Amino acid sequence: MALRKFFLGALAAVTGLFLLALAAGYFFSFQEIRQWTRPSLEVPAGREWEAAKKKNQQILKKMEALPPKGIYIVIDTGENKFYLKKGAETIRQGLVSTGSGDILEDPSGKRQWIFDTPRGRYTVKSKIHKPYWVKPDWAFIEEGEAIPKNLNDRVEVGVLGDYALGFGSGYFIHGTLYTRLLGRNVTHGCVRMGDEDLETVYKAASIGTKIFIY
Amino acid sequence: MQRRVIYWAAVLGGILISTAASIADDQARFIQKKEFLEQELALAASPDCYFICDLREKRLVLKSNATILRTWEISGLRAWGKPVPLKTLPLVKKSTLNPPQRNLIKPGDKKEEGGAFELQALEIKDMPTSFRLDFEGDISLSVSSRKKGAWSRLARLGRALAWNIGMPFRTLRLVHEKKSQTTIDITLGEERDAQAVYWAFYDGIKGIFWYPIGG
Repeated sequence: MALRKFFLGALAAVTGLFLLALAAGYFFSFQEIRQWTRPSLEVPAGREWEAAKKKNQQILKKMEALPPKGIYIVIDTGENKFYLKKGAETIRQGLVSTGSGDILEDPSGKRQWIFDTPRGRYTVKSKIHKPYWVKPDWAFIEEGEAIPKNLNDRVEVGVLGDYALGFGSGYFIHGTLYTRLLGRNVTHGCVRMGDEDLETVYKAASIGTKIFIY
Repeated sequence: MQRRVIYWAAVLGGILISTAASIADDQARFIQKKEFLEQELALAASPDCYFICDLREKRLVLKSNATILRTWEISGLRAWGKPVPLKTLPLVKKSTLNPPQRNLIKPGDKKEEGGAFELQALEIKDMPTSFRLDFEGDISLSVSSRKKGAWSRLARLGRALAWNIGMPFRTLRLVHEKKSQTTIDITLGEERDAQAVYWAFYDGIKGIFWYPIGG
């Protein structure tokens, strides 16, 4: 009986302490949560207030000027889709293939490549009709072949489709022979597009057209 | 007569006080918006993608150059801890139970054998559906999705318990250590949305948590 009383008393004490600590935790938490609705802000007065209003207008104007006014290209590397857009309107959309995310190491151990499609804002830097591929070192290493010393041995014709749009650092939007892989992450970083989509994008875009990749 | 004067003086005083408070609110709102726009303008000027986590509108927006690239609607949101500072915060760490791994290509190892194609790539379907993003300044964003099924309901219950009991105790520990943290927990509609957020939020991506003064 005494033991039972002791256990019940201990249980009540532990529960009480637990609830007390919980209540204290909530109390301190609410002190912080209250600050969410009342952030500490310095509100200027008089002339400073007028200057702040003016500056706000300037920022808004700058922000409005930033988004592209004409044609631009958006590439979603996760869903492997592209959108040719003008303002909020989507003119054309379709499937692409983007970077596989794979890693290749040079057997010498000195170099490493990560086959990601770069993300961010780019611009069309070159437009090429009937492009040919100058195979980089990694293409030979990946296939377990010796890297040729002669430039002509690197050239491969007809694998990039009819058009290519360069957006810097050796990356291109180009065609593909592997159309069944459109919609998948298979490339070494370039963006592959189906023939008809590529032709439309190539004709719509000009040098300086913005490309957004995410 | 005297009573009437006191009454009207009180009414007038009340109106004056509420008007002054309303003006102060408008000014605070304006200053907060200005600070937000300044931060966003700096982000938009860079060529990188950035995010805006609008906690009032419950929306996660991926942008670049002030252009909206993708929007995720947040179906469930809760926050704990100190308010998020109105400043640009970089993502410092992504944590999940089973982080996706990149494949290492073996040189000379042909992918296509006998016409069968085995794709070895890191794709969106390999991304986790529940994870945590840690930002500079002890701010963490937990992301999950609304899965269906009994196990998921059980997991949600576990998370709710952990949140409502674990968080107060964590606050106590932080008070004791004289530290503060912010934890934001969001639930997205579909698993694919959570995977897309994990995909789009690369290490180092910068963004702003935006909680405008209400009104």
